[in-house]
Amino acid sequence: MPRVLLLGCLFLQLCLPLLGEVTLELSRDTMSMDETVDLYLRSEKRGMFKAPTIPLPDGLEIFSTSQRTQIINGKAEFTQAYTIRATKPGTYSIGPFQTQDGGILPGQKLTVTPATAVRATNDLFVTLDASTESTMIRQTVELTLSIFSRDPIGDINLLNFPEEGFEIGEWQEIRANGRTLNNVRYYQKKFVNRITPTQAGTLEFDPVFRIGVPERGSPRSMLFGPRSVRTERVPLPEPLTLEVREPPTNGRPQGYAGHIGTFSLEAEISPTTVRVGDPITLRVELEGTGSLKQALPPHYETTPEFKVYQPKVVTEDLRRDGLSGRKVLEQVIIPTQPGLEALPQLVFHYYQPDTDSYQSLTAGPFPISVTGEGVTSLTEGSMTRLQDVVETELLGEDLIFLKRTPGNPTSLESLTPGLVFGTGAGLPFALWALTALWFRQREAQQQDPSRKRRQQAPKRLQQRLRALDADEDVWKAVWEVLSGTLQDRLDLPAGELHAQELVPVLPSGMDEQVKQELFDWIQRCEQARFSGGATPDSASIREELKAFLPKLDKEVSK
Amino acid sequence: MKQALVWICLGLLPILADTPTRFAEGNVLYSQRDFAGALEAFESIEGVSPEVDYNIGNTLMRLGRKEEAIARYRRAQWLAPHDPDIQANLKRAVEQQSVSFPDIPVWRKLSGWWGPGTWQAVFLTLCWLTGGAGIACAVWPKARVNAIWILPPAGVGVLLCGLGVWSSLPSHFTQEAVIAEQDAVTRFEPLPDATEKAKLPSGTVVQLLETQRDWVRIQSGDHTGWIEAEDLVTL
Repeated sequence: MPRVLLLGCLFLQLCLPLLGEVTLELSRDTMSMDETVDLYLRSEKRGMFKAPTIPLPDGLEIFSTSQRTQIINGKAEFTQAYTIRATKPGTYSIGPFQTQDGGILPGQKLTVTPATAVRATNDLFVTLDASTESTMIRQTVELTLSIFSRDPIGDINLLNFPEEGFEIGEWQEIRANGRTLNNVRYYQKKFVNRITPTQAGTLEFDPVFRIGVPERGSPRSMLFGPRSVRTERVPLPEPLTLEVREPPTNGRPQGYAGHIGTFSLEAEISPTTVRVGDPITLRVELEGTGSLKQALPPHYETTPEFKVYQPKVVTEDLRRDGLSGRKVLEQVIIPTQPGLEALPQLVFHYYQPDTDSYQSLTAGPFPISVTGEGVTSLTEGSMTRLQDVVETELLGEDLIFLKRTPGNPTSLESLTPGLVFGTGAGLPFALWALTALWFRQREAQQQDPSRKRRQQAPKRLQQRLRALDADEDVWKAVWEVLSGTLQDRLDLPAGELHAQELVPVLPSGMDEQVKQELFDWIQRCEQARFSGGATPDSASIREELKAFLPKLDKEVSK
Repeated sequence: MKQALVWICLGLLPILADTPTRFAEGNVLYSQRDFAGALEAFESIEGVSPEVDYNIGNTLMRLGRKEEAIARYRRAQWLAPHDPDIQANLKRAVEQQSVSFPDIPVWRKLSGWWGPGTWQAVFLTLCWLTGGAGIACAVWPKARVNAIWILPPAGVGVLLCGLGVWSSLPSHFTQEAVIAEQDAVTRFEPLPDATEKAKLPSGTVVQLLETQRDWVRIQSGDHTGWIEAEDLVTL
């Protein structure tokens, strides 16, 4: 049995000086026990505010809170969101609350239904429920889509969803815990959407869902995610039908444009004293809950007394898919005759489902004073002035004036940096790097003259090897190659080379075998010098030396 | 060589002289309320500049082609984010379409005092100055002593100008488009019979994510979906 709990006017403690216009709104007015609902406290004034504690009736509790700041067109809006969950079904009223500056935040009605009874039919199944089985044109209905799966649920695609006979918003996922059905734990994903029927009749929803289910189970998938996703097509167990009626004809006022809900209307004009041809601006604000998305605040049509311009919605602050919020309209009205005393009354009719009756909101008539001559007898000057007004309105719709100079038109391609630009930008750094390297090398050579000799040693070794073949006296040539290589590598002075003098200057880590081989070569050279005579096999000596020299060069350059 | 330069200059002369003439002609036609003629004159100008885009945007607004106007204003806004006229007219066009509109990023606003060409010129100049300073420091010991005071600031300058060049790249705004059709349908997949995801009002500025044949995947706020390319006006 629904239970109404009115907390009365509680003093809402906003902790800082109150922050402009404050509003309180629920994201949904109906939820089931396994769902949550968001309560938004919004303030338009700049600066942060500390979230007040919202007293909730018994049966509801705050699950979590969050804060968000939005800046739209330079205007800041701070939103404190309270996520609320229910501990028992019922109908609750949150608020009304009184703010520190004496303002009243109207109460929010919330109906909590028991969690929908779901019969587990499979490892993967879907339910689609509507908040009501019967509705009226332009009366919004909430759809709740739940997907139950034994495995985690991946991407969801909706196929065969009807597209005609209603307007639909976007599907929004709401927080839903897993459910245990028949002692089996299911993953659950839950979405809500709102549809607004646009024609009477029966709407039938029989969609098919294409649901991706990631494969799981292996340790790899636990660490790195599922390796593959299988896709399943899941139909609804049975189609969802919704009866859509027209609002009742009894008591329907003339001029009723089909709006349903609860609205309030405010209107004002300025200035109220004008001359013929001067513009009057009408500002109408329509606020409420219902078919606000489709509604246009009431405005005027052109009459012989007034010329009017197309009304313009200057503010459209809609929430909950256009189900609540406000719309502000402005319209320019130009009196064309003097002596007019009032702008006629504006009327807005709507059907209120709660009271099952039609309501009419009115604003005006608005007293005005119009002086000057009528348009029918306008002088040339007055006509020009009226045209100026019209022109100004047109320009107002347009625009700040044209630019007088074309600037510097450039092709898009030339605005995109290409290879030439990259080269132009990189070249100085490349030159810098090359110059720095060259200078560093030069400086190093200046500080260590033997460095150049060591660096050129390999090149000179090659030259000596080529000369080795050309020289007829093989031992002389061998001696020159050996001594030249050692002098270059070890930076020894030119002149005689003796094994005893070499020992201390050879690298300490030199391979002993190579060292011994070097001494052998030196000894053989000295023997050949002192013994003289022809060498029987000079070619083999040359080849032997060619094989030894790279090893020697490598060892002495350590 | 000289002859070639003369020919190039002679070839460019009509183009250089033609742009202001066509622009002025467009302005005159606009003031005479010949908006179609004005549009033709403005669109015949080769190249892109915020001023030309802005005037084309105004003309398209007059012709009632508001989505195309928003696209032109948006491009002009990217090119000159601090121009108050562009801001005002773009805001007005967007308000008339009653659509939400993403502001351009802060980094583009910061770099918006200079156009792409200026950023590139300054960047190149700074690269050569820095390279020259580096060479001087490498070869001249007296300069090397002061390298710590020359090279780090120059490096920071090069880095900042590089960011300026990057932030003014046309690829940022060529990745945007404007919805041309009222309640243009986005779908889950790039197929005509794929499930509808959402309907976007005309004039909405969206990001282009990827293209497949005649379909484009777009993003608007948190929403992404596939839409037919013909429903978009690209910048």
